[in-house]
Amino acid sequence: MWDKNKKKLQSRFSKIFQESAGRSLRFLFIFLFWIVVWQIAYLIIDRDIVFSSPAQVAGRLIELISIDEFWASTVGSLARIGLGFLAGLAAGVLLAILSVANRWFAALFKPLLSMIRATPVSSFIILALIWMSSVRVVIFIVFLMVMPIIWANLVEGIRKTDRQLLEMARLFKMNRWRRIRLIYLPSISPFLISAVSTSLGLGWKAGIAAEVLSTPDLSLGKSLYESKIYLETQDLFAYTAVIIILSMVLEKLIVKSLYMLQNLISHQGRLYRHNSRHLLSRLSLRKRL
Amino acid sequence: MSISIKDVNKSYNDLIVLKDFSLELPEQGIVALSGPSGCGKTTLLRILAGLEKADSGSVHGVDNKRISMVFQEDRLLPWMNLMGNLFAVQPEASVIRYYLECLSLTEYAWSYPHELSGGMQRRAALARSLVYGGDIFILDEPFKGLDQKLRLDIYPHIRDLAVNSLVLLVSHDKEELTALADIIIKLDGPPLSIV
Repeated sequence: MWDKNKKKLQSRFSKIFQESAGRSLRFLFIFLFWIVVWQIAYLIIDRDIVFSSPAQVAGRLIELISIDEFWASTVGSLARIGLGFLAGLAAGVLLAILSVANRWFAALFKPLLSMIRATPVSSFIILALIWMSSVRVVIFIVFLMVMPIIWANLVEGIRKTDRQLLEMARLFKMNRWRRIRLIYLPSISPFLISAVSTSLGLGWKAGIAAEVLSTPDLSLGKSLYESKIYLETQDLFAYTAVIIILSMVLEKLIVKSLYMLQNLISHQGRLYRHNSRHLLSRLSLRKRL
Repeated sequence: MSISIKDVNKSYNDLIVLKDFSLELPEQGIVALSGPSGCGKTTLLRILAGLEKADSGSVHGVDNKRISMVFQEDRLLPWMNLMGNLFAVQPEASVIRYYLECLSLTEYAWSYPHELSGGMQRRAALARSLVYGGDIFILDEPFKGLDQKLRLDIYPHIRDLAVNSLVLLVSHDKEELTALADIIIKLDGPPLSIV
């Protein structure tokens, strides 16, 4: 019996290993393919002042990570954009709840939502530059980009919550918190996760654009702007690479954390991995039995 | 105190479902409601359960009573396994364990609704109603999709409920009605009327 289980486990591990090795190889191939394309483009253009090679950018990146100012700029940008994102998230959630609770509120604020969505981000940045300090401009722009996405998606999610389940909860006298935890949160979580993922990418890009135009001290946007002014193309490429990497890492981190939070709150696992779903569910409920 | 429904009216747009409908129900026992689909049984039960308001008329004897229900649809939380669905309405593990055994669902306790067959989902909905408990059980076709053997196994538990509670059973199955019901009310409609 033990041997059988051991063999089963070994075959499962080897399958997982093979799958993961396959994925890594595929990723490596795609990565190398685009590096080669980049290198070919560099060779064709053949002007260092306009276009940098992968090796030059990698070299500059290695140099940058040993400079304190680079880290300060990265942390500064992360803090400003993060603050704007959190403010936008909080406001979006609040406005969504108010919109669902009160039709008048929803009707009153709908034009504002449409207006924010239709206005080019550069118009907002220029206006904000007149109104406030450069640090606040970045926070404000990210807030403006994030809030409407969260707001609209959450309203959609709350409205699409299964009425039959809510009626069931009413009949079985589930209190408000229980209804939120067991029905609303699992129902809206796909909408929230999608909204966070979209708004994070958009907010990050808009935040960097705002930094480029408002040039606050210790920011990736200012570094990007200065690279352009002094024609330091390698720096421009290196900072762009940092911005892309940070955006990808942040999105993955936050979306994964949200999936995990969703599992913990409702023992839900439909959107997360099969195994963790069962594990969480069994652990939390067996304890009670 | 018995339950009395007096001169209840209910209509949806132009469709009159209940017109001056009156009915007296006992406090205990199994009362079966039988009638064609769409005659208004479910509307009557929803008004009794407080899920819908009658346009006019009154329902006496349901205030302060705990009402449990098996809906026409299973209405299980799809993101929770069966155990989670039952814990959502009943905190006592021993009660859950008891009814899981009664309904032969113990081995599926950790399965999610989509992993269960139609019959199992129906039993799970019935289990939720039973673990919640109550003074009035409204069971809208609770044995839909269940085979004869399982039904026979479950009948005694429904009869046990009826000792202290009122069980309102909607069914189209004559055998089921004869086997379980103390009173059978034949209905027709719309508008709903006692035949």
